[in-house]
Amino acid sequence: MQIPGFGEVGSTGLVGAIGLSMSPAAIAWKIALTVLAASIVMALLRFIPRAEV
Amino acid sequence: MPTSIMPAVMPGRAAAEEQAPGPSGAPYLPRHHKAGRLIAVVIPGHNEAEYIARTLEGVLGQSRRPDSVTVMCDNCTDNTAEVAARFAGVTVMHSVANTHRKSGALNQALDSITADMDGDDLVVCMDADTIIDVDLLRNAERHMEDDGRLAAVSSNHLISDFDTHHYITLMQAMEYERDRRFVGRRKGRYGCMTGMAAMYRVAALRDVRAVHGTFYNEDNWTEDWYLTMALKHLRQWRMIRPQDCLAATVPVPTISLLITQRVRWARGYLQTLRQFGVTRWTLLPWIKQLGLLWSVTARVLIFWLLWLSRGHLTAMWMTPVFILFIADAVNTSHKAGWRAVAAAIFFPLEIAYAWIITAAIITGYFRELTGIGADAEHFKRVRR
Repeated sequence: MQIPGFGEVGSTGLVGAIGLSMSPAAIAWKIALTVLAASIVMALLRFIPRAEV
Repeated sequence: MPTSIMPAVMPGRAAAEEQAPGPSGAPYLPRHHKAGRLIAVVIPGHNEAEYIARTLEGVLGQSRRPDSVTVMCDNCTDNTAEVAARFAGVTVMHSVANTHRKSGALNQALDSITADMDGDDLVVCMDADTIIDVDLLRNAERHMEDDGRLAAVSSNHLISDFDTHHYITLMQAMEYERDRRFVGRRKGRYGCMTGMAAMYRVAALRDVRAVHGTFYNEDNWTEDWYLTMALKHLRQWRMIRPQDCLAATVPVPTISLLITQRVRWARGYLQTLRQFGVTRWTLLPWIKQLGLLWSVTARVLIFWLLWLSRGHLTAMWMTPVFILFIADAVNTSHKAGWRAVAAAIFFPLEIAYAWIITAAIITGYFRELTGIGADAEHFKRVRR
């Protein structure tokens, strides 16, 4: 199935990863998305001005 | 091979107060502070003739001049000693039957230099290819005066004074700048008391020697990290890596040497953690190793996903994510210069560098855990 902006989704795709699918690819997606989310948070935190001592 | 340590280095207070010509011919006046604190600089070097002159110019041009400067030539086969001896006020020593690389040379020098120093006196141990900022000694001494429990003040090393035209040197400049920024935003409380340039209180060094037998561990791949951990475990002492103590160091010029350097750093890092075990002070570094494992796993997974389902990672919704990551890369490295900004924008350059470093770290850990190459590499030297 095609979703605009998300491309092909399914058991190996984004929706499969967010959903309950536990195929190896879906597990890999879950991990990758977790890392991505953590990386985004870390990057945003680094923009917060802080005195360098 | 040299057969003796010569001459005795620390001239003592009376001798130190005598005038001696400075680097530019001007009188070299040791300026003892209120408490009469001495600052001795120790520079171990193995075939550092190419850089030792710039290093000494940086030391002798300090706004707070050191009371003694010693270059410890360690198995040199070039003219490091001759170049160093041309500088007035510099004492040249030669290591004796040293088979323990930089740490052995430092121990021999410190045994001699600290012998008649007070516990509150200060010693700066630094590399022979490092140019310290003109106010480093003054600022580091002030930190020591402000906090009597401070055992060490480390420099933050950069590559600002050296060539960043090449890919591999530019990547190191960006990496070091990020490290400086990271440490600075955490008030200087983290990081290694770097061997590139760090000031130590003599009393703290003596405490380490009393517990561990030597100032620097001679069987460790990264003597500065071991000394840092040793000081951490002596709970009465604190350490800091402040932003007003900067130094410029020579980058490793080739990928091959970079890998050799990082393999050694990784070995030493893990070796030190294993030597100290799991303690209050090693817990965080141990956890960071799990983070590294996680990081490698995640990156491999992402590459797999790129292959398996690359449509998602190149979809439009990834655009703001890429923009954020590039902005982050620029934000954290722009003080390394415009080339750093350009490299941060063209992010595949940094991804490739990250993989080189990761591969070196994994190799280092593997060798440390298996003992591979422990003898063969013992004397292989990189710049640090």
